[in-house]
Amino acid sequence: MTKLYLLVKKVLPVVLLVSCYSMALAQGKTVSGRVTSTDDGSGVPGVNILEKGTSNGTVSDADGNYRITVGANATLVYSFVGYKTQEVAVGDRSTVDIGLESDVTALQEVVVTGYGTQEKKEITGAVVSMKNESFNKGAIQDPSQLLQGKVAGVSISRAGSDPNEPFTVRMRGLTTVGANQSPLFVIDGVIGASIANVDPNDIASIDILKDGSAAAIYGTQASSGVILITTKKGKAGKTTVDFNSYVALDEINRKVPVMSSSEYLGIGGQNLGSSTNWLDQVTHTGVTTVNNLGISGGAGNTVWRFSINVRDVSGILKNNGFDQINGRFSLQQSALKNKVRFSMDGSMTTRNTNYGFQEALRYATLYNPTAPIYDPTGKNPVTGSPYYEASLFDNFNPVGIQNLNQYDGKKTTINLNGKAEVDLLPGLTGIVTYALQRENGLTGQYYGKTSYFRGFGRDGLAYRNTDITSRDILEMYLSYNKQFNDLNLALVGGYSYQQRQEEGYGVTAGKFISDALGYNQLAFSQDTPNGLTTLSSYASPVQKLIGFFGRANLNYKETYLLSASYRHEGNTGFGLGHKWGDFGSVSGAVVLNKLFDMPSISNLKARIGYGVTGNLPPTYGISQFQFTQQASYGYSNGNRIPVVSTALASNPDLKWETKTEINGGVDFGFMENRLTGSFDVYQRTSKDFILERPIDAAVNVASTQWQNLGEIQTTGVELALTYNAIQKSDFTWTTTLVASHYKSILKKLYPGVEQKDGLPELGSGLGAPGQNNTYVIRNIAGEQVGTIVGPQYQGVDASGNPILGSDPYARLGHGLPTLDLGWTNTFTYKNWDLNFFLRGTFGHQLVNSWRAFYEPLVPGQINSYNRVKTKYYDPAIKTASWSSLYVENGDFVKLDNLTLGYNFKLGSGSAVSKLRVYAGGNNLFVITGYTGVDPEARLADSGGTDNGAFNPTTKNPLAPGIDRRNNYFLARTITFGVNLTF
Amino acid sequence: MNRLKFVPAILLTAGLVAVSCTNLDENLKDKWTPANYGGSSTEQDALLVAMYSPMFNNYGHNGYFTLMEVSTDEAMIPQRGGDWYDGGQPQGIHTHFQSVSSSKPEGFDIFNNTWTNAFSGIAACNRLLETPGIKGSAGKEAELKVMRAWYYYYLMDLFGNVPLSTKLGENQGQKTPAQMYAFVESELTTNVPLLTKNANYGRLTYWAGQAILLKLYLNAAVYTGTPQYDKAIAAADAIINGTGGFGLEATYKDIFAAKNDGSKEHIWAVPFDFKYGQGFNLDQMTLHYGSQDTYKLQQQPWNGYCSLEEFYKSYSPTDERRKSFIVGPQYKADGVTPVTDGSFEGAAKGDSSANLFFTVKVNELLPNALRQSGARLGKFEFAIGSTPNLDNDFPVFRYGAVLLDKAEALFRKNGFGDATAQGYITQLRARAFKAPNTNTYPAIASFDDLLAERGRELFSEAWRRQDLIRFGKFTAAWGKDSSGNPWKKAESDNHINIWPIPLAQITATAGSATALKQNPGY
Repeated sequence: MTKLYLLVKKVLPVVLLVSCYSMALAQGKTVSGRVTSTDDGSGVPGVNILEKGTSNGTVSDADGNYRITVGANATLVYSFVGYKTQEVAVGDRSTVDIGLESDVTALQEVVVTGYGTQEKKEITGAVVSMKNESFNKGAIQDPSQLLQGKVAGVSISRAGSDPNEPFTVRMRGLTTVGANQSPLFVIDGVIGASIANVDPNDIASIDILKDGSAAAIYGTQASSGVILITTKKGKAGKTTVDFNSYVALDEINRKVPVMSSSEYLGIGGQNLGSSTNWLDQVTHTGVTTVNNLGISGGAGNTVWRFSINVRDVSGILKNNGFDQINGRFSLQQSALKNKVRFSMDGSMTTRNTNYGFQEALRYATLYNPTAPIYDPTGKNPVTGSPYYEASLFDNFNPVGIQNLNQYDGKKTTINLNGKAEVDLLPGLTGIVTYALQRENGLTGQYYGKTSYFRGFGRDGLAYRNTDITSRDILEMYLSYNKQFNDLNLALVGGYSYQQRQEEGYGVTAGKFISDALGYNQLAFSQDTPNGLTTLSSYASPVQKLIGFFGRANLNYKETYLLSASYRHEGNTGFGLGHKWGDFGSVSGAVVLNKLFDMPSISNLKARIGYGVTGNLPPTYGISQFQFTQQASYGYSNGNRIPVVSTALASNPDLKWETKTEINGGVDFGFMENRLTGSFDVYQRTSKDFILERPIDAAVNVASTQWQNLGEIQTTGVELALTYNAIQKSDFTWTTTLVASHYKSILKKLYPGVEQKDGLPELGSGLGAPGQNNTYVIRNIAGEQVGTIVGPQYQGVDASGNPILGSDPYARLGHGLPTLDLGWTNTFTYKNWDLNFFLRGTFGHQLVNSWRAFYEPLVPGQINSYNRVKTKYYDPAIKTASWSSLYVENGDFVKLDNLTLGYNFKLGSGSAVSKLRVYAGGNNLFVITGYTGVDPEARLADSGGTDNGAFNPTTKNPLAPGIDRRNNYFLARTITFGVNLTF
Repeated sequence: MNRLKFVPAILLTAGLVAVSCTNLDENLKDKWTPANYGGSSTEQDALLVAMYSPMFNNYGHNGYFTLMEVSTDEAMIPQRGGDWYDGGQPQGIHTHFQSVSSSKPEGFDIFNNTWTNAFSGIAACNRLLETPGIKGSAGKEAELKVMRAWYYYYLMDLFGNVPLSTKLGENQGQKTPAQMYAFVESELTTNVPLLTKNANYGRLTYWAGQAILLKLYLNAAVYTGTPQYDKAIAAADAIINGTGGFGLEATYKDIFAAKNDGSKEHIWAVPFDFKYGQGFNLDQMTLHYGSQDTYKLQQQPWNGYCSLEEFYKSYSPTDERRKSFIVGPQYKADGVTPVTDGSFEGAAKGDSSANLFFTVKVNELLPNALRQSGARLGKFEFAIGSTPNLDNDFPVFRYGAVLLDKAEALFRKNGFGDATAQGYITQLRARAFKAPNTNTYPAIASFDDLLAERGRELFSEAWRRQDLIRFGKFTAAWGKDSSGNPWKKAESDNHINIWPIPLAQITATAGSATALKQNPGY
């Protein structure tokens, strides 16, 4: 790292020195004037005013006034986000006042495209740009929620409503099975920054680069698309204070239907003499409060913004939620007549998480409804806790789980990001950025001495784990823009250095004399003399990603557009000689309405693009031969000695996974852009993806190896339509529909191998109890990713055994959806605003594991668990046997959000410039035939766990479609809030 | 304009920075590599003992032990309602796939687990044989070669046609059992004499090498068609008459006690330990959930493995060895308070209380075996307070079994009148009955008698499958209980005597020059 700091130290002075020379430009005359809005005649601050064809420019002040020195025959270009750009020839005038028209169609908006911006009309790839006014509304805790259902081709989902579970974000289906299944997030230009460190309230706009041609400038991390987040910045002029606050109430929306006490006793359940509503015991109305304060302003050459965001979030499960404080600052300073620009952004989030125990929901659903909460004798004779326990496999008193144990964590994330831009020559700008991110986490778990769940067997059990990750990024690039008559040329090129490190350690220790200190005093564990304490630690190598990149954009008369990019990139994780890869793209567009006379068409652009991107290895060290010390010990001369063996079969030939994509699209606007939209068709092919594969155990050091294998091809179409249906002064209605259809086919898996029935092939099974090795998802080359397989259900015989079809591997469905729809409607009537958003997902099936385990009336199980009872319940079935009976369609439509707001009329002298109150709801209704808690597609599988084992932390993307018993329930949220600006 | 001069300067600076920052070496921080590990003798010793690691995986669920026991007439894993169906694999192994509706047993992960585990040992041996510091040391090379021969031996015993590799990356292709027999025999006869005759706990010695030879020769007819009883007797005699200091424990159960390390009966044992040698979890596999309270176990057991009524009844009631089964009412650690099971089916034991009672009879194999049914595998002592990793060492070879093996070779060679052989049987039975000797078993007069005696002596020691095959009884029907339940295993086809080559291995080698060929019948 010291190397990096040195670099910054060495390079910056040179850049500064050069910039000193560019200030001697000034010649000619001075022009001044005022920029106003044609809407209301008020001054517009912060407008960029540029002398066309030069880099000479200025920015309007708080009242819209500006002053600039220009050359002879100058033309001034006035641009500002939200307004149409205007050009004015100065001629002989020394005062140029100008009125800017606001840009209702947003077609002229600036799009962040990576290492620069472009106007939307110049875009040649599949790119979507969203400003904060079109973001999702309501109780938003995670920035990705802002986009959920809003962008064709981007699916954002989370089954259930656990506030601590991140959303799964996928763009255009499954692109890779290794690292980066989610799109690359770039926050204020910082590649791979943590979105957990951006409060949704601080986001000004989000730009989405969907296809390979648009994303290729980001090379190797861009295969699953790129999402660029731009945070709010200050504006010169009056200091503005924004205050937003809301309260949200979460309640259970859907639960797993189970039998009532009387139904349960009716089928032969054991009567334990009580009646307990277990779900009521472990859930509550989750109360969430969110407060945001943003202050921004600026004077002279400085603009700034500070914000603080406080969130206190509770889920429907007791002891589950988080509280978080996030602070952010943004400072921009220009000097030397705006020829040198510095900016510094920083943010810090500190989050205290109470993970709680999802197991409490699971066992509350299944627990005998006649069981008492407390042991009738007052003290459980086995564990000594007050709680009743049945002492059965995979069977824990849910209230005991919740009250005798704790699981929480703390995490601090810091981002700092500095940038210097220097205009070196007319049109040529040099840019240096340096960014760092530090994440620091500490978790603790304690399972009580009397807790049947995890604690009792160990006489109290504590876990402590810390994890630290650090990322550093240095980028230097030059940007050049030149107008040659009708041709505009924009070039960018540079160098990028990224490094990442992860390290941490953990302790597990049990046998405590007292529960009083929890996990806080590990030294009091009696397991150290026992030998049962376990220690672990890890430290990754410095994982480097180094790239050289360039891009050229050509714009001829705003009619013909051409773009090409290239990135040469290397990573430490690949084999020697395979570390570097080449990625790039070419794309072009023709604006047809400029080429042909099309009076009724306001915009019609046809685009085509081709791009190659890459993907990183899923973890480090897999190309290298390594030794690791084993858990078991050996003997030498009668003494115990450690055992060291090879960690894995290394693969020195490990190389880049690549994705090629071709995208064709049309952007259009009719009726003076009242109806706008875009349509895209694409095909993307990922090959050489990196998977751990069984290899010939007879001749290799291990039986599996990470290899470049297989190919996934995704083909899809996307449509986005926005219609400003009504635009009257006191009533407006805007409606937006987005739709995307795609299919991911596993073209190849193991090259040259004919797959035979009988193996899961990287899929997944149902799991314990009793259904281990019962594979429900398999991957078969030539078919869709993650095919649900099993026998067809054909009825039930007299003894209660299901009659099954002869093919044990019949295709029963697919876990990945084929159609995503989102429909947004925004109405304003006088001071009222109303927004509702419906989201639907179709074409996916779900394995309902709740039913597969607990719907049949298995004689030996009736006394252990309550029974699931859905519309498919058949009392004749007495064996839990996997079949098509437990595969259900997951199609659904959700009212994701409904918000009604009122804007108070404020007197012109009021200190408050805006006051809005609103009420809303999320997940107010779900229309689905699915009988589980949430029909949302399960894009990846966490595996099945039982009997108090821990849920795995990694998810298998090749096993989509399993609704596990450890999934959280879906909540319905009601929100009340206020927005205040002064 | 002179400011232009600085553009190349900037580009040059950027270029220099870029060149100096293109180093992509991956320096691992938390794993050793050949660059920084293996130089010292301590480091080499730690590498060397890796050859034994796979043995720690052989006595848990779904591996070697399961294949040797659950496929036979002495143990099974019934489907207990919602528990233990597990894709039909445990019951499929027991019924030789008769209970499996799908016909894809080669995909069962038990086969791939067992195969890859043994080959990981072979790979370790092959790698270590070329490791500087180890290569060239006659003693270490001999130990590695004998260990490798042992892995190949039991792979051949289980899977028949196994590929041979004696050097990493080199595959000599699948060998027939006869070819592999020749390889193993040659490796052993060359290298066993080089092994130490002194005690070397947890390691292969000259005596352990002779014990492998004894098994190889005793079963020679199965592998090659040609019996080798004289060679078997010679190998047994090498142990019996040798200087290893082995002998019979006075008390049968002491061989399997929680603290049985150093037993004079152990010729080679896997030195399991709750901390230093994890992997032996028979307590988890066989005990009922509520048995956690009986033994104060740190984790709740899984209520799986049990024995068969027919097998249990092959013991005389006064045979001390019958205490290898856990049957009858179960009590908490105080010995008085009954363990209860909320779902206990009272009628099955004529008692409406929910007190747990392990019945000898198992009502059915699947789908609804009662949870309390089946005598449990309690031969290895479950110490109070055990973790899921038992401390009991698992004797791969023990002195008592050597006597039994030698007796069998003598009987087969000389007939049942062989007095030496009868003498060994008497010696073992004398220990099995408390004084005064209440032995009710007749003298061995048939192979059925001998097989039954082997069953009683070697129950739960992972030899039953091999014994049944040698006696031609592996494919026989079994599973009759006192009320003739329908789950009994019918006669199976002879191809079942070797297991299928794991499907994952066939897939992994498909298309290569050494593509694996499936065994006949699968």
